[in-house]
Amino acid sequence: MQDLSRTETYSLGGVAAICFAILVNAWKSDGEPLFASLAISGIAFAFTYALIRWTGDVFIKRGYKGRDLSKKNAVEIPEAMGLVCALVYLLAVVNFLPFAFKHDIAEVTSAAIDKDRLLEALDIETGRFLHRFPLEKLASYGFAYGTLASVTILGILDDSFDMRWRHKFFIPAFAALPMLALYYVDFGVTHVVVPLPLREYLGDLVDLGGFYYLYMAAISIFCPNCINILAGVNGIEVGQSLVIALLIVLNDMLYILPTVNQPHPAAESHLFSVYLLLPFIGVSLALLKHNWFPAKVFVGDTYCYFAGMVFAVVGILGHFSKTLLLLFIPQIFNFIYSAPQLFAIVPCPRHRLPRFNARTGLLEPSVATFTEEKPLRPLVGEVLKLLDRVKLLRVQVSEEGRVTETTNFTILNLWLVWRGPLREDRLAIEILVMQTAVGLLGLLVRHKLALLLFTVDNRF
Amino acid sequence: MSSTLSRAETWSLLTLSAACVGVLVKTYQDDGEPLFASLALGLAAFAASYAMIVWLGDAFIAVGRKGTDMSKKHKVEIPETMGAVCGVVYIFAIIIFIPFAFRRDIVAATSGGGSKDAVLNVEHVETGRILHRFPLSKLSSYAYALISVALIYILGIADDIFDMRWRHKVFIPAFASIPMLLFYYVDFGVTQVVVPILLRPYFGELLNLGSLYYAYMAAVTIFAPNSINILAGINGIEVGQSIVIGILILLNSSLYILPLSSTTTSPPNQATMDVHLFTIYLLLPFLGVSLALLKHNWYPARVFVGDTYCYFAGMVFAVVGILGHFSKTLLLLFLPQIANFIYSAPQLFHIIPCPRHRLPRFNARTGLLEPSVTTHPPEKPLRKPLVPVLELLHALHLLEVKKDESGRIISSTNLTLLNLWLVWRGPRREDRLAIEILSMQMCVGLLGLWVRHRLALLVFTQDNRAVGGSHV
Repeated sequence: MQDLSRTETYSLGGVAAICFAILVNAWKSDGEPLFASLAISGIAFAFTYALIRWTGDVFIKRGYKGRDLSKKNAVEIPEAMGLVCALVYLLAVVNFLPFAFKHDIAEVTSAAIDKDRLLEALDIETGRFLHRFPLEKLASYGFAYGTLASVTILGILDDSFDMRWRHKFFIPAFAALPMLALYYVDFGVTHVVVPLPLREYLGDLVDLGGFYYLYMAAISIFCPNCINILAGVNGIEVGQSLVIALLIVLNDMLYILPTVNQPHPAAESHLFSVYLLLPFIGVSLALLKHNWFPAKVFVGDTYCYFAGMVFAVVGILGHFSKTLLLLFIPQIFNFIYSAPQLFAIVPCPRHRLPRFNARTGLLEPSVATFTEEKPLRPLVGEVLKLLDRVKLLRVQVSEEGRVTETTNFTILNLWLVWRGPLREDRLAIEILVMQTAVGLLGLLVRHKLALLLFTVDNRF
Repeated sequence: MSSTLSRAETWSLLTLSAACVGVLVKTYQDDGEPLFASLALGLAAFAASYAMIVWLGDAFIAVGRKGTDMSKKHKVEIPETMGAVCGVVYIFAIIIFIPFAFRRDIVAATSGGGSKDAVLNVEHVETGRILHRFPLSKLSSYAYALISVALIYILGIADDIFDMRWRHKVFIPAFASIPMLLFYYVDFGVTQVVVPILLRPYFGELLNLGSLYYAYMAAVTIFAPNSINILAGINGIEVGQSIVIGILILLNSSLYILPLSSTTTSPPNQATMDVHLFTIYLLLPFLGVSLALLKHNWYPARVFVGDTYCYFAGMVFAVVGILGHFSKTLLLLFLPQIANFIYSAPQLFHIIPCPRHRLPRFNARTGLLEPSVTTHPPEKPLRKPLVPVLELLHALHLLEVKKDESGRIISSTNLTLLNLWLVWRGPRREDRLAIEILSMQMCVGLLGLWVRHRLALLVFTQDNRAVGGSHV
């Protein structure tokens, strides 16, 4: 078990102590969920940071380890550290729940309020009657939590057994069942608002019925898997998740801040989203600190499942799944761009992460090669040459005009084709900056230009 | 162990599954009784677990989840931590059950089939369907029960993978219980206990324990999984004891929901019925997955269950006991486990030296199990004060010591119920020991339930079964 350095111990201890004090204060003054959530996220950050350091050796001993191929000396480091994140996150949210409801309980049971509004505790047989207690809020947290616990379980099983891709793909859909069950039982809205240009054909609202559940299941499958595909460079999985989380919180703020008429009908669900995202940001920051270049731990599929599902849950239960998809545009692009290799139209090598050039210490695009014995299909070859012409990949062509190799179809490789060889952390930073920029643009479009497509921006 | 099902197994499991799916579809369409759906899901869970245990055995061994059965002549390596399969199947069975549990409530609230006054129309896409008088607290109870089981399951897997130290492990269930305690606080919040008649002059009729009640519930949650974990070590005992306890709880709950005219003057109230039905719905799939695991774990075992199973089972019991308001009855059913824990305590707390394994020792010559012992060699003799204590226990037939010529104690049997049973009954084969222990558990449990219901009138003013639902 590795220890924390003295600086680390003091700073983490300090952070934890301050947060704990805030927490105690928040409890005394009627809950204050937002401060409680912030404080718990701080404690979660400290705890995750320490746990990752302390359990690294145990993970390696148990076989959860991997080699960092993009380093001169390919060291063995712990893998599947996302498990630690997910576990601390679950414990953090569990401890947050009392704060979320303290105000509601106090409101209903204290003698300080108007006696007319209070119904007395009748009898021990019937218990305390919590009139007008937001039970649907309680149920929402419960099922969201159930979904996240399920995906953690499935992530652990995936990292333990190294499942095949065709099995892994559908795991998140099973994990999402609690959320779908809640949606079905509690809410059940399956209508979508139709964009103005299509209203003549489809009317104002379209009832998707059972397809809505398929759509939600699809989002649950899509988010984790596409975070998993945009991977292979130190810090990129955690980094992209942090960027997305911060963008969602930004979006939520737009509904919660007094810039709009309060109480806004959507304020409740956006607060819910913030409360679930703050601890996520806390544990992810701690993981990033250990996973950033040069990485000392790997995150594992568990992290990608966990992160993707957090986003899917807040997007679906917060009723902003289309906005969520806007923030996933780089991932969506990466998925579409990767599709020819994922579906084996173009041969797909085992690893497609950028190739490390030991001499220069930089990353270059990795390639898939096609030899005389296993040539590319002529039609596919022509398409590749076309894509090379529009700068969407780079091919090498033999004298006869046969394509001998092509860069792999991932956004990381494409970025290196456009920008030339880069050091690993530089590449990661540029991708994350791109993600932030695209996300901000997306939010701008969503809120400003929404009026062009729909009759109202639901923020007002 | 083969990793495919035999032809007979395949056909019978397939038929069973098909029948269950049929029942589920029919129940859904006809707004049928959720009890049928729960039964069908329990059987489907049995089939799924049975098959998955067979299919995944090799995969578990391949990743290192394996153990050697020390109590066999030929020590084979078999898959470990198979409780993980049970847990996953159970969680999904409950999730799938939820729509069935609430089908009637949804129908009542949204269809034209009910009185129009009871229905509020869908107003706007932003606000969604308003489910008037929908039992949201019932929905939440499923969610929080599920969360508690899922959390303990994750922590159980982490324990099995990382082989945690006991001091870390003990508190895991307490954290896992926080969601459930929160829900209890919000939904019911009763912290008063009914005082036995004898003590009423001192305490009054009801004693409000306040937050101690939550400490008590957390203690139940810590206790149940850990105590199942201690009464372990022979094939089939962990799953077996859990199945026995599960059946006893089912029996107890049936007493509340069946219309037994001989004992009730008025029908049970709705709250009591709901809570005991909830218990039954949570237990049927549990029995399904456990029976499948028992089939593979019974002597001679083909798989081991792992700590995951003990945590999982203990938490299911703690959840139904607490949310069903019968935690003291639950503890009655845990008497053998409680006795085992108290009996083990001196070794658990290192008052008496505690070896790594305390399971009964296998005698390869006879093929029978004998009590395992802790040796006290001359280099590390027993502490002086303990000698008379052990001799007293030996005289009371509560363990067996062996002395050398000079009268010094050189070995004592380990302090577990299994070893004690062997001291009393002599060496026996592993499965015979398991059957005897399970029979004892069943008898003690039945006796406990009988005492609880018949003699309750001597200790309290009413048996809560006849009147309404107070917490006992």
